[in-house]
Amino acid sequence: MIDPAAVFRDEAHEHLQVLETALLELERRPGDAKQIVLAFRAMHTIKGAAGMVGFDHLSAFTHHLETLFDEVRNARLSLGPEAISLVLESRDHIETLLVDPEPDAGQLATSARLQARFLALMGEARAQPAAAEAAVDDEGRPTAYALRIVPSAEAFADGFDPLPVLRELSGLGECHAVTTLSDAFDPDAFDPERCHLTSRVLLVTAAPRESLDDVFIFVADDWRITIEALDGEALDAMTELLVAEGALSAAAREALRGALAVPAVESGVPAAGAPAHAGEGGPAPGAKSPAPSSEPTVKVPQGKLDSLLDQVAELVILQARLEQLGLEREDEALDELAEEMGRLTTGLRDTAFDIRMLPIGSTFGRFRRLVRDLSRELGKDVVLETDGADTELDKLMLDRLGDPLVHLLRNSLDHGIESPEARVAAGKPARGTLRLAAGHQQGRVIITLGDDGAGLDGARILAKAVEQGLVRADTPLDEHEIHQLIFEPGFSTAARVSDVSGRGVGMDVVKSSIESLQGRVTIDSRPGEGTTVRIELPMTLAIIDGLMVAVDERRYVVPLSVVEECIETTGEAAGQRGGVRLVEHRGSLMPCLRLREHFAVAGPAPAIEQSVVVRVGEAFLGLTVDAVIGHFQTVIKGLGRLYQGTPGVMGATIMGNGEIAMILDVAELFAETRPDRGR
Amino acid sequence: MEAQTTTPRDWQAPAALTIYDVAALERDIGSLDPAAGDWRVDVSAVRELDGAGIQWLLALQARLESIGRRLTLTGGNPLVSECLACLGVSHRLAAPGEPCEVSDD
Repeated sequence: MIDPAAVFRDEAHEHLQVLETALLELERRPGDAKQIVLAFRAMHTIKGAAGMVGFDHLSAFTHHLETLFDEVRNARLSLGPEAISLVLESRDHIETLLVDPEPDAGQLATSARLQARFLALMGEARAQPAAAEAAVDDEGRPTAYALRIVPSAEAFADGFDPLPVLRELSGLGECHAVTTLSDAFDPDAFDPERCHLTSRVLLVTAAPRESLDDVFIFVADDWRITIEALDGEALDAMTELLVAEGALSAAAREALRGALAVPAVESGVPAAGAPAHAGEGGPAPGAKSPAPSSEPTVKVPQGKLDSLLDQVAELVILQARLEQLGLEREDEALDELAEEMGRLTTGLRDTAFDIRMLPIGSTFGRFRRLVRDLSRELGKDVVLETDGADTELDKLMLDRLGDPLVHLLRNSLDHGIESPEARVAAGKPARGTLRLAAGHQQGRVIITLGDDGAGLDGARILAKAVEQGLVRADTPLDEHEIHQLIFEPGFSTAARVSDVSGRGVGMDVVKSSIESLQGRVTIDSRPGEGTTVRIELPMTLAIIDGLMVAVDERRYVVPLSVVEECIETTGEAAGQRGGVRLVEHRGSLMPCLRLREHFAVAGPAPAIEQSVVVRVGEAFLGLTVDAVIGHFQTVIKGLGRLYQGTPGVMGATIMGNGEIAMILDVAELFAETRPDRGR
Repeated sequence: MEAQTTTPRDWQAPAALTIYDVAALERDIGSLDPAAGDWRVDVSAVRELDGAGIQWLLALQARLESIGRRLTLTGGNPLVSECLACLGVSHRLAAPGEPCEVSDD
């Protein structure tokens, strides 16, 4: 059974992310109404849901934030930088309150401290109401709305009740409701636990239309709700109905009409699905176009999705075996069956893997906050610009990409972008820019992180690399190759250790993380102009495009993304370096690893072997095998616990004949050929 | 059809009239007998009331009306009055002549 508290936590984290993004946007564009509404809704939702699952303190604490955003939304309070910092701090506090419904003494003290600051902030705003009130006068003319509310039959069972909903509506203004049993009510088959109620409501309010939608935030998906702004005639009809139903006295009706007898009652925007006004030829001037209808979404726990993918992978393997069997038996009916099954499994596999694809933008929000906080800490003025947020990537990869990207961002902020003074002195704007972009290129995902900072100091990098024994002083390297040296293990040119970076975790960790995702990372830099790190990744880790090779009866798969070419080699080596065989390749010596020896496969090697040339970063490595079988696309299976640490193997796959093929970890194999790390 | 004049059935509503109680209440009242007369439901003891409770009262009233009987709420209770007013059913469930309040008799 799904734990409601766990669901609440998951959703609350999503709402906190929305809040954080909205706040950071508001810092850039103060007064952005859309962001204010998003922030308000995030708080409103957390507050309501927290109360339902027993996080009472969190619900009460969030109430203050919601009130604050309500003040902002109604133009009674403007969010300055200090207020935004306070809300961000509160957002972080809410994250800690999500752990346990019962907060400890320290958390309670933090809540009290933050609440006092909210009240002070709102008190100050109320002390200077002139400007705010003027704004309300402009937009705060009362509008009459007719609402029809039909709760779902399961409303009571789901924990939702029309009574508190109507009570919340009453809080927005003058509210007159009539609730009846629905037409479908059958006295002889009455189930008291199912909801048979229908409400019609007249609401006269100066609150913005969004406030009405917010009332239904938890039930909008399941209940039928229409909201219609009323003009003269429709208002008359509605009040007549209420008088007839006894919900409105004739005197109250007249008073209402008087209150609304202002020139041209402002026309609101019907909710999506609301009936159009009779005789309307089109949307009212200035009306927002209705939100595009979106397909309903279903939230699924990660474990279930992983289980589905595992089973799809098994099915793909089974299909390959069926195909193999058809070929072996030369059975036409079996062939046809295998072909049909192949078509279905391919479709199923693509759909299943597509479910796990997420837009990379879901991680961008986290980086914005990081850049904001770190740049303040470092006394720098830096803005993060993002592009390609909707580029999709396998969730598994997205999760594992977070840390390397954070490390790169920290590095750019700490070492790349100069202080405002240094930038101005260099003729640059005081504010530095970080650009994080993502996009697809030839079936792979390209992520770039660029800054307009000082750029890399090639001479200093080379000197440091020589000093650390990473390269020989006489190695001919161009500027680009020198820059790649910063990815070498242990490399660091930072003269100081700061809180932000330089903690001994080098760029080599970034590189190995990216390579473990079957990706590659490169860096480009121009002195004085900035640095750009480019990360290239496959779209998923679940399927691999590989080259199948054979050593005796054993099969191995080399990821196709690193394969450069295949060459014939003989048993004779052109030389040895540190016990590693070297072969001649395109005029230079290339380390070559014989898989037969590496994996201790018994038996003699053929006279003429094949070597698959793979690229690891900027270097080449030969993998010598008996034969190259060909292109092979397959589903990657994890290694069991027993084989997990096997060097040079990243996973396994099951072939059509039921045999297992190992998928090679080329970066790890390459590392084994470089015991002295010399060049 | 003109309803027969019989002694009203006085019924004391329990402290809780909520989604957790309505199924049991429905079982308890059994089938409605026209001979039992009109219903007077004393809500003075009600301390918890939700939409399901109010719906049950509305349904009871509708079924009584279908057999020519009436339901009247008695026993002034601010909580009940507030809930009925909020949902907009005061005029349906309140005593005659007191459209927006629960009768105090």
